[in-house]
Parts: sequence; C-alpha cells; structure tokens
Amino acid sequence: MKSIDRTVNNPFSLPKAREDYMRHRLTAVGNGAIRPNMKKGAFLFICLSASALAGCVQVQAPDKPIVINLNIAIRQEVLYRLDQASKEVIEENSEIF
Amino acid sequence: MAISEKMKDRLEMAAAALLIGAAVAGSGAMAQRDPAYQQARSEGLIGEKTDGYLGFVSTPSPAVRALVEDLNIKRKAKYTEEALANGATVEEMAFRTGCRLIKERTVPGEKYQAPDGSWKTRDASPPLLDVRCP
Repeated sequence: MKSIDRTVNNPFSLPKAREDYMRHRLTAVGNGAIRPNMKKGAFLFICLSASALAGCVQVQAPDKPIVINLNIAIRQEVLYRLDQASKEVIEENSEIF
Repeated sequence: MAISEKMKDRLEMAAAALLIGAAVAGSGAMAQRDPAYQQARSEGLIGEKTDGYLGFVSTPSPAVRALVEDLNIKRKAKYTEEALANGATVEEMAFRTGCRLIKERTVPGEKYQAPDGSWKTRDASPPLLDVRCP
C-alpha cells in the first residue's frame, strides 16, 4: 500500500502510470484477469447465500441411550490373580450376591 | 454334682452352637438373601450381568429398582475393598466376581447376561461366559 500512496502523490511518475495501466487491464477489460472472476465470485456468493437460507444443518439427538463400554480396563493376568479374592468376597458377603 | 451340672450346661451350649453353625453352613447363602431379592431373582425380573452387578431384565417396579440399586452399591463397596487389597481395578474385581457369580451362583431358571449382552435363562447346561473369564 505504501508504494501506491507514494505514486499517487506524484501524478507523473512512471510507476503510477504502470500501475494505472495494470489496474485497468485487470479490472476494466472484459476478458482481463480479475473482472471475469469478480462476476464468478458474485454468482458464487448468491448461490451460497441461497443454499444457506434453504438448507439448515440439523443435529438430532439419538433415540437410543449412549452405551460406553467399560471393559477396556480389564487385564487378563489380574483376573487370574483375583481367583481367591472373588471366591472370598462372595462367601463373606453372601447376602448381597 | 454341681460340677457335673455345669459341664452338662456347657456341653448343651456347645452342641447348640454346633447345630446353629451347621445350619448356617448347610443352608448356604440362599437363606441369607433378602426374600424380596431372592424372589426377584427366581422370577427372572433381575439377573446377573457380566460386569459383576445386578441388572434389570424387564422394566422394574420402584421397589425392585431400589433393591437392586442398594445391592449394587454394596457390591461395589466390597469390590473396591478387594480390588485395593489385590492391586486390581474395581472393574477387574467386579468382572472376575461376575464370572464366578454367573457360573457358580445362578441356578436353573435365573437370568444371566451372555457376553453379547442378551439375557439368558440358566438351565442345566453351563452358562455362556465371557472369553476373558478364567
């Protein structure tokens, strides 16, 4: 931007003339680099805003309860070690088992 | 005479103690369960889950729900104690006990949870156990 400002202050500078020419080529000429894309951009914007109005994204809560599997924490070798403990806990608290 | 009477008393007491002990041991755990709990088990309203806790086979009445929740809390307390004492997680202790409960404590007619999560009725054949059960 700074260089543009500087050239704007000097209406006779060569860089400014070059810049004006380039701007003209890019924007004002029908088959230039920017102008046709500006049209496309406008078209795309209209399409997007139209689709945004039509299709709201809907998030629905699942009907079924979410099940979390808690079995991940089980180590096989520990299960073997708990053989006696499980026997005792049942025998000693038989009223709750 | 006085000594022999004392002896007699002691013998009687010992015999009574033995009888009571035998009765408790003989009847096993079944007699110690709360009758409402035993009934809910027998009727198949509740069953043993694979994770070591009781579950509802069908939608329970408030009384049955309260009963099961109370028992599960007590079970978890015991599992926690034993897990700490044995360097295991509560889930591991509960799961191991659950294997044993399904295998050894369910009687024909009672419900248990198969490894796929479905409820099965125990019959004379061995129950379907999780592959991780020792």
